[in-house]
Amino acid sequence: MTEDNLLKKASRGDETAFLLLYERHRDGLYRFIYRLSGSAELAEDITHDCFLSLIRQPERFDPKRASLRTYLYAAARNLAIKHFRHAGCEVEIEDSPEELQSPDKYEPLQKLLDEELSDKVRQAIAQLPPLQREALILFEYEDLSLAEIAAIVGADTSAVKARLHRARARLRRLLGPYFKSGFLVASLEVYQP
Amino acid sequence: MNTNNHEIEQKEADELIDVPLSCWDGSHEESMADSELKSLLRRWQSPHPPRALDQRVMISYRAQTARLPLWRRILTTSISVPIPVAAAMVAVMVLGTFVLTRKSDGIAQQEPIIVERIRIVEVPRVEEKVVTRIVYRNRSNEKTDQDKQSIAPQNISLTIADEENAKGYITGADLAGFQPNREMNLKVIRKTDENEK
Repeated sequence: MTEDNLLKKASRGDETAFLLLYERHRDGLYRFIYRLSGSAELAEDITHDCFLSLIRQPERFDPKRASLRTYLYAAARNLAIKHFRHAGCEVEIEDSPEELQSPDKYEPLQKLLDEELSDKVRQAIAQLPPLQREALILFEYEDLSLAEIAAIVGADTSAVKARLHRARARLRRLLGPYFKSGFLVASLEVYQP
Repeated sequence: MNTNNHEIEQKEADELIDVPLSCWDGSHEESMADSELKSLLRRWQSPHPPRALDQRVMISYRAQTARLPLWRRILTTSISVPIPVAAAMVAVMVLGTFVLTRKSDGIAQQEPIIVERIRIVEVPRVEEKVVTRIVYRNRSNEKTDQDKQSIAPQNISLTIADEENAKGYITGADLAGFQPNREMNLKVIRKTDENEK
């Protein structure tokens, strides 16, 4: 059954159809907003609002224009931007290492190193300009194509490419010590079981 | 700060439109750096959505769809039916339609059966009662053929025998100007209990 049919059923009260759609897209939306804003609470709110607005106005989704996934990401992005404007500034990145679920394969020291590295990456991405940040997150973490990202952010693919290029260049500068110093390699060699 | 970022970003975007895309074809160093960067970026993991989010979304969804009128919910509710069950139902419906169609055709082709029914209806029997009345007429005057047609005797008297008079019966009739009816209209009186004497 197509997502368009599922959406129509869900909007008429079919809970099974809604659950199918929800479970299919919930994690991606949550991750995207969390990485974009750095706030788990905001990610929760925006994810909730996205699905409810989808059910409230299903006619806004046109399957001929884009997939439901693209539509939801675009809606989430718009809600995030609205929130930032209303808040007046970008949301501060929250340090919440306890929420991270890093694999507990290694010894505690490795785990600590991993968490530190994860935190460094998070901080580096947070320093990117918003347009570069969202393009990078959608490309690297959500595995969307350039065309899909362009549809979400309302730009053309060449602009998205340029933003990605700039974002990567900046991240290489910010995270350079973790490449050149061999920090990453060393941690794997010493603590790999 | 947000405005500054936006201005910078806009400026960069304007500059970057002409950025050559040859870098995407990738020099070796570029691709190595990209793969290292990619593996580094993967270190940043996001948390899973909490279960509270699921509960919150479902509560809101049910509240939202509960506003739909009952008739619409009933009409638009769908029931999932496994394919074998659906196929069996369709087969039963087709077979039933076929059988019913055959039966109705069979009924139409049969000849109508004529059943004779004898119904006894009692009809009242009318017995005509014949009443004979003797009318006496004076023949005192001889009549010619012409006179025969004139049947108006001037004076007709009728006398009764003495013995009858002796009993006290007086029967006297003056038939002056008597003219028998030319036309006789007989009226048959049906036998009923009222006419019974």
